[in-house]
Amino acid sequence: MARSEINLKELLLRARDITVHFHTLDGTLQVLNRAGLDLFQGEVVGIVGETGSGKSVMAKLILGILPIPPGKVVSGQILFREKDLLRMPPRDRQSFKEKVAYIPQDPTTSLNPVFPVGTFLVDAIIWKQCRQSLFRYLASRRFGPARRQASRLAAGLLDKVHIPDPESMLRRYPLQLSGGMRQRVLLAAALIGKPELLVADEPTTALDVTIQKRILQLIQEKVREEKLSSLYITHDLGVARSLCDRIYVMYAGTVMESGPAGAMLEKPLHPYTLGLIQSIPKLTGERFDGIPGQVPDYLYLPRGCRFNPRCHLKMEKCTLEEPRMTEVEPDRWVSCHRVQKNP
Amino acid sequence: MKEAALLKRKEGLARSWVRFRKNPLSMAGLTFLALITLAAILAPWIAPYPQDASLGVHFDKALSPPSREHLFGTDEAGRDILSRLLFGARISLMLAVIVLGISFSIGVPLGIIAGYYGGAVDEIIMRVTDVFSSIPALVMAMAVCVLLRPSLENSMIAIALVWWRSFCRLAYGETLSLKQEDFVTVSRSLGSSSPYIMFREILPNMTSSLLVKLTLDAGYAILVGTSISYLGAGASPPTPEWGIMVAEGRHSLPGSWWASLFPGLAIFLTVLSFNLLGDGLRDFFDVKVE
Amino acid sequence: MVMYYLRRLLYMIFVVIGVSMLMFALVRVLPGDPIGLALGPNATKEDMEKMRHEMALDRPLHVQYAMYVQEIFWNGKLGMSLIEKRDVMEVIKEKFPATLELVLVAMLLALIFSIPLGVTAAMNRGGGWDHFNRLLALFGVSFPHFWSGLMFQLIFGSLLALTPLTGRIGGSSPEDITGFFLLDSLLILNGAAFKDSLVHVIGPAVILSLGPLANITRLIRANMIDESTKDYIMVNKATGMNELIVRYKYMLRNAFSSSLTTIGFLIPLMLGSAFVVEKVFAWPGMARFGADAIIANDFNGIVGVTLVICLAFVAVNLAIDILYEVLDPRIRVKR
Repeated sequence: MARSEINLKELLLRARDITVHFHTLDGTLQVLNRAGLDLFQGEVVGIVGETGSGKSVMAKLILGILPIPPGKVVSGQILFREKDLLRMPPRDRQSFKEKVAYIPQDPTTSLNPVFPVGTFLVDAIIWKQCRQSLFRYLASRRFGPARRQASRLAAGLLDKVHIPDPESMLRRYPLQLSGGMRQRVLLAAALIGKPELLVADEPTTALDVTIQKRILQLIQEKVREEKLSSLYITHDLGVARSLCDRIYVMYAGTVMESGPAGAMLEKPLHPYTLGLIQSIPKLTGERFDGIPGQVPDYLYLPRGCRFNPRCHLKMEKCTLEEPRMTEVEPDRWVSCHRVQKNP
Repeated sequence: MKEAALLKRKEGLARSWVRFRKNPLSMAGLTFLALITLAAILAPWIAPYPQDASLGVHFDKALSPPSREHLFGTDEAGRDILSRLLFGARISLMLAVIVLGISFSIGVPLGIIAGYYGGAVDEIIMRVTDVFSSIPALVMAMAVCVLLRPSLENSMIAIALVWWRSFCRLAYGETLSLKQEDFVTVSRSLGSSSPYIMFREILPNMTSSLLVKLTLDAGYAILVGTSISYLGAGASPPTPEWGIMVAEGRHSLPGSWWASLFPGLAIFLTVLSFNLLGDGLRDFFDVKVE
Repeated sequence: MVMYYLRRLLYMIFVVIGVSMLMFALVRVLPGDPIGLALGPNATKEDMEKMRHEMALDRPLHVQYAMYVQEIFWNGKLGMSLIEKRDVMEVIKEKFPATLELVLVAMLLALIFSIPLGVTAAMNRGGGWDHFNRLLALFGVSFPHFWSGLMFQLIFGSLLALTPLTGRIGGSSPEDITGFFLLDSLLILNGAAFKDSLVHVIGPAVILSLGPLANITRLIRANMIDESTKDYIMVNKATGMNELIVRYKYMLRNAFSSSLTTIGFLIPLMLGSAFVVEKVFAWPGMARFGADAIIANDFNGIVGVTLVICLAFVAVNLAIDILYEVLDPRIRVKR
């Protein structure tokens, strides 16, 4: 989607200048460094990066489930339709959560093993109906009709994600379900109460390859049906390419590059993005290069650009000063001294 | 290469010490324990009325309240409570050392052997331990002590004979998990003998758990020891043991509250310090020991 | 499944037998002379010999043990108690409910306070509640029961005159239905007896509960913190569900199961501490009898009481296993 088209759409989510620190006994980890992103209505935006790049932290921050001690938001704002999520009163923050759907990464650990699958769904449905009132929630749980109605709704949701025999599925325990089934249940849970934004944190990474494709298709189907805007987190460039309209590439807590998916992957501007693309083993058996070096220890971050120790285009400036995100081409933003020098 | 590793280790240790220092509770525990130990060692010299610790009786001064001459008052035989407390510290600390020393020496090797060899040896040792474990420490220790003839020394032996079981279990558990580690496999393939592996490879790796346990158990041992004496199965008068001091003072309640209050307070504070220190050590080593 | 429980049962029986043998042997090997103590200083040598023969003390040890076991199963007797002058089984039957009531009330108190404390401490890490929780945990296990009991009696009994000093009840005890005064007085709607029992049990129960309170609250705190990092809790929170629901329904369930083993074994431990607490408060329970029996070398008494404690230990073991199955469907389904 070109920028001009997007302008006509509403800006749903805008994160700016997010810096997050984690306080541990060994020191302070700067896990997010002036990161930011934009999400327009109806878009699929991808956050791509290696393990430990901070993409999950970003997602959790938006979702509001980042553990705040030891985490601490040092600066930044996340605007959801003009309202800053980070400075909202807790009650409003909770209501915001109703508009967001979350699909976690590992279905094995994402369902409470001691409760039947239905319990969580029914509770979530009843809660959304009770609109933040704990009293009303407790009252509803007592009365049969509210519970039965919620169960019916839950079964309906399971049906939407193509789970066979939804009623009996509600009574099953997570351990009785396969990985794919569990992920469907989580998708169903995510769809409770008409969400507007879907945040999917590597939802297929933990699944078998054969199931991955089906789940991905299912997600896409639901995104279309429910007209969701989505934020898709992955380390898989291929998935990002096929699913996303725009991509943000993150490394060591910093956004390195962003732009439309196709254009970016065809002609990457940031050396890291280029390295990522080159690292993908090709089926033709060509030699593939990894990126030399390792992801930095968040306790001992390099001075200047966080990628500089591994960058083959490194200049002296890169070891001294951190580059800022600049729009090098229309809708192509890069955080790199080298690229910014040569527009 | 080795220097670099050593340096890293020192650095790690230094970092941990700083972390430990930051914990005010552990430091308080450590400080208090140091004070008590010092007081215990120096008791004969710093006690205002050292003779009161054993045979001195002054019935004319019986049960006088805390005053300038007697900071904590006197008991029913007119003896200075503060002095008796100081000597009592010696007794209790000594008890902790002896009890833990004996039970450690019995329990840990047994646990390591059971864990390392497995099979029948494991079964026998651990079943015996289970039998010993199903009776609360106090009960069994008291029973054994009484059977041996009630006295302070016998109470120490009795407690030690009961205490070895938890050391055994701890060493057993640690051995089970440690023997899977690579360094054991390597050592074995290099041809090290079993005793060597057990005591020179596995044992040193459980020092942190053992240290935490020793610290915490010192407190509990003192609790059990004083309880036994309180009930009349341990030390006997005129020994200035904290437990019997509380028992003796009981007769004069509620009027002469100081006779029971201060000895009990001493026990409480000592045990508390061991617990504070042990808790801090537990965090410091990041170990899961109960 | 049946095989599993059968194996467990066999193991439990083994432990009980082992303990009985151990205690039996221990008390028989004693250097002291309980016969002399029991009969008094005026007993003649013939009297002592006669008693020794009556109590079969002149037979070899294993024969004595066999006779002992036979007595238990055939006649339901545990031998003559030297201090009570009647059969130990009778003594225990009479006194055990008192101890059980005390321990149960103490455990209840401990649980009621420790769980919310632990949950709150876990959710407010580094905050006021967390520090309070930690201090409470450290203090709670440092009190010598005989001293804290004494202090309680001093402050609440003497000084404030709020609670009685000793005993289980002031007036007459309620009709004996369950043996638990609190329950019985409720069942027959005797308000006065209930209040009387309550005010008597509160002192020893509070003192007895301090240790477990400290342990449980730390345990719950630690387990809740572990739970809070679990992915499924993150998913729960992402739906915007109320914090209290997430905590007490979803997190506590698992945190509590993890603590169950430790909590269960606190009960036999409390039986041990009861020896001191019952003495201090003159609580007419089995533990006080046990303490007296030990001091007096009443070996039938000692063995009898230890056997009961061992049985309690075994029973708790089994109960925990069963509870685990109820709480954790994973185990249920796997079988």
